[in-house]
Amino acid sequence: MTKAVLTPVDVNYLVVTFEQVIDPQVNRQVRLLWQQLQHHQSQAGIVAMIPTYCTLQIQFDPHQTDSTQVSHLVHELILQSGDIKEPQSRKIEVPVTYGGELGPDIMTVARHNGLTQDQVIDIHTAGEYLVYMLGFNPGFPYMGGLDPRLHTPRLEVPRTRVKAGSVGIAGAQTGIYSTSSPGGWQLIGHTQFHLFNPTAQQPVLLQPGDIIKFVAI
Amino acid sequence: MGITIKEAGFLTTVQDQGREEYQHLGVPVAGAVDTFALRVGNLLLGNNPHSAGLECTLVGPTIIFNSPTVFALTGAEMEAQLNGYDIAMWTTWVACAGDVLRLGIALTGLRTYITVAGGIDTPLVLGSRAAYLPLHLGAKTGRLLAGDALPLGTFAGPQHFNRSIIAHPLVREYQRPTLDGVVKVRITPGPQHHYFSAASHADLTKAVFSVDNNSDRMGIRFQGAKIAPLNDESLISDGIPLGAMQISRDGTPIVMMADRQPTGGYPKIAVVTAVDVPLLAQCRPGTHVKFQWISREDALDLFYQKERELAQLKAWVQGQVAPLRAYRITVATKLFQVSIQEK
Repeated sequence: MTKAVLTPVDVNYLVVTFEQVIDPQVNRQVRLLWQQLQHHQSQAGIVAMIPTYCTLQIQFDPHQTDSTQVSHLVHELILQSGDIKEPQSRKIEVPVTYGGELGPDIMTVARHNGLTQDQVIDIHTAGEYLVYMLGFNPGFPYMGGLDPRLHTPRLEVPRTRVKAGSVGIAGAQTGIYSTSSPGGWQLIGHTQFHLFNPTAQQPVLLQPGDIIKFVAI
Repeated sequence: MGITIKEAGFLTTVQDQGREEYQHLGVPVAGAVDTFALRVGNLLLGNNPHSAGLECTLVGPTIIFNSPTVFALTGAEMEAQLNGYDIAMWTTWVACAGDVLRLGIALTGLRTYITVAGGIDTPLVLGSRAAYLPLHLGAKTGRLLAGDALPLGTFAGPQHFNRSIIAHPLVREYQRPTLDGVVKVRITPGPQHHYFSAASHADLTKAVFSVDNNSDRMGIRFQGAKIAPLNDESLISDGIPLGAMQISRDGTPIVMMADRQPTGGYPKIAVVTAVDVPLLAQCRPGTHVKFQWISREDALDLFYQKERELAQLKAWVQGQVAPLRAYRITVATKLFQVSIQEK
């Protein structure tokens, strides 16, 4: 049974909070409600929604609706959610050039975990990573499922500039920089995929619910 | 055609009401930090409410009008001259080809908005013309420079020049004098209100805070008191509403504004209520601020009241007969506009 707490915030937000854990099943509940609401978006007066690990933030237009009406809709949809089949998660293969100039920290990860560089690549490419949410920067995926054998602490001193497309590890997380930015992740490789391109038809490559597989090229 | 930037000013960017629909992709909303001032400027001109204007921070730009149009200045009280003569804010002015508008220092407040009939017509990026500087999104990659030329949209409606609302209650209230120089900002409970003790809730209203230098379009930091969280638990990243007050690890309150990242992991004790976010947009570093808790019901009352007033203002503007001609009269250093209309 889906448990959700609904909290109206100020004049135009409703926050739907599920169980506060980072867990694929809880994240699935968030995404399901998000997808259901997308079907009702304009009639319900919903302006924007942000699905995160275990919470859905709903922003609505107070001229069209109020938190009570949006709450009723959310309750109805949660009751129906058992009957809904979530669309198949997209499986996205991301080609990565591991090591070398664009993966300068791969040996740090290897040494920290008592592995060879090839073993790091094998373990990283064997994983299937769920995109829980996007945030921090446009197109930046929060990915779960990094093998504990690859967990490595962040850099002590972050780099002032990390190239977009860099693939990295920070603690128990793995991810891909969607834009150039400062960063403290251990960089193990690089992909040519543009995770964010503001002028493209589809400006962001990934979406919550995608399953990422890295492929060494 | 359009306008040309002669001098850029301190930080001048093209802004509209931002891009709301890409937050789930990690794209910040951006847009005018003072949405009220931009909105009123567009309203006075009879513009589409999504029209873009120029957000001028602290020291404004000098611009040249390349073709005749109508413009308005709203927001922070800024020194303003048209062709060397002082002009009033909150008023729509005719500009002729070759006219020079020079904005100087903001006398009070922080951000002044130049709106022009038809709006600034730069290309839409992700549905909006709003500049987002950290990613160089927007016209001319964001920050405007001397020499930049900006096109204006075509404007089909009646030309609303010589509309002045300097003495209107909406503007009076917006400029309301602070009590003892302290700006009163009303807050409602944030998504993590319950993460904090009643003592912490009270601490937020007892102190007089001041706006820290390290404040910008993304967020406003406050000094004056530290707010203790209830526990040390990390918050799992969730959405950040506009005006949300995060408490950072060292207890500093930070209110998240237009350029905020859509998601984050710091607990949000409060949200600055919607009608007071524009007030914060005008608080420069050093400004003293006091927070006051209000209920969501009161917040809704304030919001709908303001919307009614804006609707009345819009009706008044639309109900005015468009003037036939405008004349300029200069008296000493000041410019006045006189219009003639059909009876």
